[in-house]
Amino acid sequence: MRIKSKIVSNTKIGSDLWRLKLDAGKSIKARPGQFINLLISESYQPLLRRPFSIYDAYGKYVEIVYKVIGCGTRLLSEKKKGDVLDFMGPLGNSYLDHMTGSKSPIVLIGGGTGAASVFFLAKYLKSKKIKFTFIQGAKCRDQMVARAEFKKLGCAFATDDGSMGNKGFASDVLKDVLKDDSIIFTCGPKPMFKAIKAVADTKNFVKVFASFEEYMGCGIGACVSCVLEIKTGDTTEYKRVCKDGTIFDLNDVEF
Amino acid sequence: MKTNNKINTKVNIGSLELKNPVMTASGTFGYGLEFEEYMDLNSIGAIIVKGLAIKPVKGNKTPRLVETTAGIINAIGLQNIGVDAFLKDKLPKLKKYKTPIIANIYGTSVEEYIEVAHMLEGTDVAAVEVNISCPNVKKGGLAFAADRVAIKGILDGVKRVYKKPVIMKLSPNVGPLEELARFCEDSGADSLSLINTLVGMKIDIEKKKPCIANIYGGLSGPAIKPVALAFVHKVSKAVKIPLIGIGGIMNWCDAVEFMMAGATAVEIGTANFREPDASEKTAKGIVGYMKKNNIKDIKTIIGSLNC
Ligand SMILES: Cc1cc2nc3c(=O)[nH]c(=O)nc-3n(C[C@H](O)[C@H](O)[C@H](O)COP(=O)(O)OP(=O)(O)OC[C@H]3O[C@@H](n4cnc5c(N)ncnc54)[C@H](O)[C@@H]3O)c2cc1C
Ligand SMILES: Cc1cc2nc3c(=O)[nH]c(=O)nc-3n(C[C@H](O)[C@H](O)[C@H](O)COP(=O)(O)O)c2cc1C
Ligand code: FES
Repeated sequence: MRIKSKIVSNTKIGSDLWRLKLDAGKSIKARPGQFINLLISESYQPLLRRPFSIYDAYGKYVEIVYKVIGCGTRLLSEKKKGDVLDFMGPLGNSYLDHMTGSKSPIVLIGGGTGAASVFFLAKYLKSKKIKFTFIQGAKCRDQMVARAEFKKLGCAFATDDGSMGNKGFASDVLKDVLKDDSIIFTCGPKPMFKAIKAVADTKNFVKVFASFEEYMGCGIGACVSCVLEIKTGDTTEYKRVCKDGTIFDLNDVEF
Repeated sequence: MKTNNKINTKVNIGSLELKNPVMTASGTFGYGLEFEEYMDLNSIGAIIVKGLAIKPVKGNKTPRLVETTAGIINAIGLQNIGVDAFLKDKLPKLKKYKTPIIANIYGTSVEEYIEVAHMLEGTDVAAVEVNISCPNVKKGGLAFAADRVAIKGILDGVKRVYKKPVIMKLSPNVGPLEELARFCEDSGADSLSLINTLVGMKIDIEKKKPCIANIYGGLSGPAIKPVALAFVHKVSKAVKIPLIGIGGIMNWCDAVEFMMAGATAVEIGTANFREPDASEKTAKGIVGYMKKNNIKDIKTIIGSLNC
């Protein structure tokens, strides 16, 4: 879908961290793990759309949480209530596509702004009364995505500087809670995925599904720029994160 | 788009008649189907699909694409599913549209180009666009862009095995194109499309590394439009065969500029990433322009520049 949405609110929620609520004008059927591709500028600076994970979606509303890191996100943070924003989406696959329906313990791990994507899943699981463990990591307290809402969901926190929750990484918390046979859903930076995989490998039959955030050209599978090297049999193949992902079995990904 | 009976938007690329001059540029429109949801694929003159090779191509290492000022640099490395998979899985699904499908083709040797064209003969593909100008692959790409022996070999061979129009896609990276364009015309090309991307680069100063894995990539988007326009204008003075203008076309105004400079048709590339219906809007915008200026036949715009 391509939608001309209206900004309901665009609020600062931490250092360089913002939360944007959009009114899409009609019901959006988004699934946890999906993203939208936002056209931020009327001019050609920036030229491309910018992808963001869906933090929440209900009725005709879609929310994202974003960090200001460059020209596009800076421009986005200057947008006001009532401004019109064109987005494409929901795009990509969902964590739910990888839910086996088995009784495996579920662990959710969000790192940095990746927590936004995992939060949507946590909210969904809670609504279905499915139990899960939730860990969120960030550099510091001020970079933690929506602290209050995560607390409500019973989240454990880890910060690099110890300003909130455990001092250290989300993967350190994982070490203490991970059980055999678990299924992990995660979104965040690649080094965090590596650390999670290392912990997962110390247990038996743990599956890790990770949502990747590769740099995107089109967001709809047309340009083949956002690819990851995925194992297929004895060889590897470049698959598109925007269309074949964003969520892949971490065991299949060469990174 | 309905052809208004008072307004003629049809143009010809060799024996191929297009209902309007707007096409999609190879590599920016996937295999067409990716855009079904976002526009009316019947509204444009033709769909040009991603460059096809004999066999699937894996493509370059990542990162493959980065944004620059009013443009993007890409080095995809021609990752594609190969001709067989295209004919089997994609082309049948495109059949429900009335829009002609043009295959962009690519090989690592003269023989491979000819073989790809041979595989497309007798299919529903309406024309081939021969990519001798990709800056992002070692063999076949830029190496062929100015190699007259190779170009003649490709054109002779492709024309022999493929009966529909053959478009040669030219690179701006090999210097002035007038003579090369004339050479292609003399060697039997039905049409020329220009320009492919300009070799460019971007550096991440924190990491002291190039922003794309291939180091260099092809620059496209609004940033290259003035350069592309000058190439089209110059080449239009040198040849008689129809030209297809490409480079930074974002809307109908840009398209009209290219047509005034001498292009019979245009291709929309990078704009598709911003506005997935950029090509449809461009086609409609041209009609609006014609109505406003009381232009009955689109052909009168071609090369109408006063200078
Ligand atoms: C599927 C997906 C979901 C995302 N979800 C979120 C989200 O929920 N919240 C959030 O804050 N961000 C998210 N991102 C990242 C977000 O898209 C980028 O931060 C944004 O595009 C940056 O735009 P900019 O113009 O501000 O920065 P730019 O000026 O374009 O870039 C600033 C710097 O960041 C680098 N950069 C930009 N985008 C990426 C990328 N995708 N990967 C690696 N490096 C990059 C650039 O190379 C440059 O060095 C997501 C990305 C993807 C692909
Ligand atoms: C991501 C990407 C992939 C491309 N792939 C091809 C290709 O496979 N074959 C080809 O002939 N040109 C390819 N091109 C070049 C375009 O077709 C076009 O010539 C160029 O982008 C300039 O037009 P634009 O400025 O409108 O994008 C590609 C361009 C981009 C941006
Ligand atoms: S961003 Fe274009 S294929 Fe994924």
